[in-house]
Amino acid sequence: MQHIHVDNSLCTGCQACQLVCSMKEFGEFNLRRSSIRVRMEGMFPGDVNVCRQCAHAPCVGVCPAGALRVDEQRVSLDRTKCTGCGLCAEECPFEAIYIDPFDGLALKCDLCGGEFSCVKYCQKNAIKITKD
Amino acid sequence: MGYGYRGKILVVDLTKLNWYQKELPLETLRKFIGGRGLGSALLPEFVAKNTDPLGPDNALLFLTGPVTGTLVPGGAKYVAVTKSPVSGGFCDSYSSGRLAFEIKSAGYDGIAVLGKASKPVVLSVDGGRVDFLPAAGLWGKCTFDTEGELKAKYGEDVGIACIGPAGERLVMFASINSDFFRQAARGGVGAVMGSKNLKALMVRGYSGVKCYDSEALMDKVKEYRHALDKSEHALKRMKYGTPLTMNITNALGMLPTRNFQDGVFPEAEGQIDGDGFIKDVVKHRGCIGCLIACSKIARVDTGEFAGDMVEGPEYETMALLGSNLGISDRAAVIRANILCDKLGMDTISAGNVIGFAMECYEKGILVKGDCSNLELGFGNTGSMLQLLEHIAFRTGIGDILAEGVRNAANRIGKGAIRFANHIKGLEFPAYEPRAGYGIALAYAVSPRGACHRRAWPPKVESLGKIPPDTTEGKAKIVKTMYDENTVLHSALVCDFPSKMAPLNIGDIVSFLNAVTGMDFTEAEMLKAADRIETMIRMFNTREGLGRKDDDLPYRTYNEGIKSGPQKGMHLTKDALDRMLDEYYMLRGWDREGRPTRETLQFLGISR
Repeated sequence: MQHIHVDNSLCTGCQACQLVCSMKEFGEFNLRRSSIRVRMEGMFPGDVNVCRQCAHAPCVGVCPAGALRVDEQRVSLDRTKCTGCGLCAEECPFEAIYIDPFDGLALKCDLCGGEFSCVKYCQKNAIKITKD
Repeated sequence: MGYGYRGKILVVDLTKLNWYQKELPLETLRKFIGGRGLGSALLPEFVAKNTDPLGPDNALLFLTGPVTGTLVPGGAKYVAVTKSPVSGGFCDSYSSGRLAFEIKSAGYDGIAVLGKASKPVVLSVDGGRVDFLPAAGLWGKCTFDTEGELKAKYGEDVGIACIGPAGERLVMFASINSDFFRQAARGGVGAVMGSKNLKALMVRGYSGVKCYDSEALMDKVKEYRHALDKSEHALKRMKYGTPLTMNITNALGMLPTRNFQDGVFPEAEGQIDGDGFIKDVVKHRGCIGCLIACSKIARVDTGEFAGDMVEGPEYETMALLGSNLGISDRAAVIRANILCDKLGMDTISAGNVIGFAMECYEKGILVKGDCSNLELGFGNTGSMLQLLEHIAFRTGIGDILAEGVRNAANRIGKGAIRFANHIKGLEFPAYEPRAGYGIALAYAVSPRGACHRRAWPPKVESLGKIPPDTTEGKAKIVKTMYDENTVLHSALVCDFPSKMAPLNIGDIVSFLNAVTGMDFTEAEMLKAADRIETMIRMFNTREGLGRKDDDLPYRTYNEGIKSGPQKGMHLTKDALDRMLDEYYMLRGWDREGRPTRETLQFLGISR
């Protein structure tokens, strides 16, 4: 399965990936509506956190609405089914599922249907596509 | 106003503890763009003539621009606009960080802070909510602890601007800090914030920024990304950050050395220049959305200061707290940088006042007894570090130096004014003005005092084909550079990305139009720049500033650069006068530098 791999040593903490992600998904620049997040470690940028597209994704099992499923390419989220219960976010061992403050639904990387927008705009090539 | 602009600012009164929203008419935005331009339109509305800059009637504006909050290169800036306690005139001081994004996300183009709180407060803006939080527990704390504690309590995702002990004590070069290491530091904006008992501004918003033509915008960003990869200049800056500038200024003989006595500092090589700096760089750091990431994280690995880590030092810091003090010990400069950041002080002005004190000491104007028993000779790193604390806390000699170089020189007397390098009270940045008449003019006419970010004439004087030691054509060069940067600083974008790839005014206009859906033209932008500079001039004229203040200090006229390729160079009053006459004429100002009635009419400015 393809997923996004981040070399944190190259990350400048610029959050362009976050902006690109919200633009791609929602047509707006919004750091809070992104499925990829730069986390701080004290006063300095720490790591970039994004869904690992687990083959045996724990989030899928806990979703009561059947909004999450593992297909050949990714762990995908159907936002029309999502009820915003937040169980998936709690279950994710990587804390890589977020809650959208705008509509209360889950936010999760689905590789933009294979477009990998964040990868295209990362100036330092810290974000890469890898295959298991 | 659905795209880019929010069309309103939040106005908060700390005396009355109330707030309201002020609409910004489309016509105002069209004429003044945003950022600096918006500040030039709003400050005279909020601040009456002869207002005490450190009194409750001054206003402190935190403004964004139409492209703030987007992926437009360098779009993470905000500008603090106020009446400067240093110059008594218009002050705009720039910084970057989360705050800029959050102001926009909260639904505003800016936040205006009026009045004075009776007790220390944190002004919190959370979406539509405004709260005045008691700050008694934070008052006295350094900026790192202040921001750290607020983020621990309210979340990592807040945008913060705060002051440190220097701002609380109204140090004339106190800064406003964001994201721990970014400062709006020039012109005393931190002192104004301190005078209002405002320890921090904390903003969080939830609404994203929608653009009129996102597709065009994203394509243009991608195009820019690829242009960066091909620009040798950009790649070098990405690698070395701003300290690379020292390799250039040292070679050209315009590096401030020992309080601007000399223009070369051979000890800098491989120590505090780009080549030295890069040895300590552990990571590159970018402001939000910036693809260049000119900022660097440096770490000291050995010696007395081992373990110190900072985002910086920038060139200005390396020069003013390094060569200007005769110091080439990089670790000591890094420690000084950290101290200035924590205490909340401008490294540029701090380096100037310490250089000034060191020269006074070496020339016998100050003796050890005057200086809290410090040996103040050039090169003394321990004394530099102690002086920074004395200044921030206003103890001993620090209380005098905290007033800035002009006031300190006047208080010390004994001819100390000969060593005070400033314009309108604001200390020199790290380019020796005697090394190029263009730099001297750019400093002299700067409305906020000596400033390196409005025009950078070395590009054509020292690095180009224009002779540095002539007056001819300099006014035109300076005006053109000023106007271009005024567009950038109003849009509001960092001037770095456009110097790297490069982006010209036409590109900036395309970005603006893609974001806002307006139909700005290049010609309209440049006319707006003229309008904005004239508005600022009107403000300064109203406050009593004029031609007499567009002047250079003693050393620039009376002493030649001591050594190096520009040895002996200095300005004459006559040369400056010729350039001023021409500059005023190009601006449509009279011989005293006052905008004429015809100019105001042409620019659509009503009195």
